[in-house]
Amino acid sequence: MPRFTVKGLGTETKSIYQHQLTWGRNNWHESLTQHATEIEQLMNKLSTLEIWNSKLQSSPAAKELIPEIWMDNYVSITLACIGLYKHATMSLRSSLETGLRLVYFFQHPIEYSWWKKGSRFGQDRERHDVWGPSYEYFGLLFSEFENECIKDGKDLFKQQKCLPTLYNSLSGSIHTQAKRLQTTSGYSPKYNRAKFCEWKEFFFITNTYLNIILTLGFPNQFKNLLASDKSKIIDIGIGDYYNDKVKKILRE
Amino acid sequence: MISMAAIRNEFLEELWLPLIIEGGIQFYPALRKNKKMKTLVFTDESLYQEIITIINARITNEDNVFAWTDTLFKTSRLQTYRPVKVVGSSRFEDSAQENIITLSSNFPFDILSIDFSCQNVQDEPQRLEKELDCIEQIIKVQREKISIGGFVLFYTTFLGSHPLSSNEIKQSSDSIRIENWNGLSTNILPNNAISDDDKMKVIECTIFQFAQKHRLTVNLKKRVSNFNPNNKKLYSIGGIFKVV
Repeated sequence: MPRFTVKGLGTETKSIYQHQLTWGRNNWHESLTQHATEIEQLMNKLSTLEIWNSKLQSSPAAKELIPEIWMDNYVSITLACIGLYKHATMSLRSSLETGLRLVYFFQHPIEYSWWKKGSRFGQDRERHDVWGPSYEYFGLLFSEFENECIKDGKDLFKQQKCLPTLYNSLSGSIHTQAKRLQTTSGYSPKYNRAKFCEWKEFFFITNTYLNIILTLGFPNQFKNLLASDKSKIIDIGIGDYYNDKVKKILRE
Repeated sequence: MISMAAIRNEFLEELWLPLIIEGGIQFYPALRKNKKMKTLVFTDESLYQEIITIINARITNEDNVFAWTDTLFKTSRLQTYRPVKVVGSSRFEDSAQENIITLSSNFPFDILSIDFSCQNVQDEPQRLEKELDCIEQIIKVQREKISIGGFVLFYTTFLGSHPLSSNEIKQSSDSIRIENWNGLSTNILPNNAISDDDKMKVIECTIFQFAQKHRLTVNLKKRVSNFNPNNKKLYSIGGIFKVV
């Protein structure tokens, strides 16, 4: 196998390689100098996905999609720490989308096999995905939870539409809305406190909603978890605002 | 305080490596070196010393090592630093049957280090019972895939604070039916083993009977070590399992 050497590279290739290593390393250092504790907390939140991954191995959809959700989040941290905030947010939307599909496909293995073969099943002209218009599928599936949230003046799917609001906001990066342009502050990506904090908030909420969807989507599997794993999902994965509601619905 | 890595190194030097070398001599007598023994290792990305040691001892090579880790984080890091095949990224006992199916095309192995202490063990009730069920299922598949020779198997775990129920073990084990086997004998064992000594006795007796049940012979060897001031004990038991 040929050995890699910088010396053997063409001028432009050598330049892009060295240039990206430099800004990547500098931005990692700056991000960690400012936010190491927060990154540790986000990694801890992400680690709740490991519990689902271990518990749902019997489902082909879960076995394939959970690592993908995890990787999207993992890479999102990397991209944010090297200053690529637009791309870090794109990755979060991908993880949210895959998480929503997972809950649907877990119950619909035939549709999963179509989807795996490349069918654009469920994605009609209005660009609804398998969850239907206005998150209809989840609204019906989790109606008891939704009513609990509405009582409290906030909901996930229907009125104030927390989840659609997040989804659309993350989509702003995919479709490159003006405020998400990566190059406004220069062509060498740089650490930016405001953009980092905005991404961190997106990461936090995305993973909170992912844990809510998975917990409500797999209630029997949740009930069979070890007590320490349940606590981790409820306290760290879901966190303060929604945890009582989830516990109430699951009679925990 | 003695570190986890130091304990595992001690186990490696004094229990695992001597038995693996002995197994290699017995099962591959014609090959003096480069035995390329097929190995399944439950490992931790920061503690894969066992993989390096057995590769350096020329018992196996990287192509023949199959690693199991309990998390996607660990898998990612292991795949970055060691070019071994990572065959699983979940806590094994959480979905034991599915995981054995996942592994099934890779069986049989010459060496199996089933080390639950690498899997971010939670000290919860019935943990040891579940782990022992996994051990039997693994022995069962191994035995179904071999008709001569045998394999080296280790079971490593923290003993934990919860009692170990031999009745629970019997119930799971007896649900795995084998012709001419009348069920696990637990008469001489404490039903709820509370002390570490009793737990070790139950584990040893259980694994010995698993071997008998699946028509294997084994001479078990073990090590135990205190992990920290809370008296958390790391225990490893294993041997050369030979087809009867």
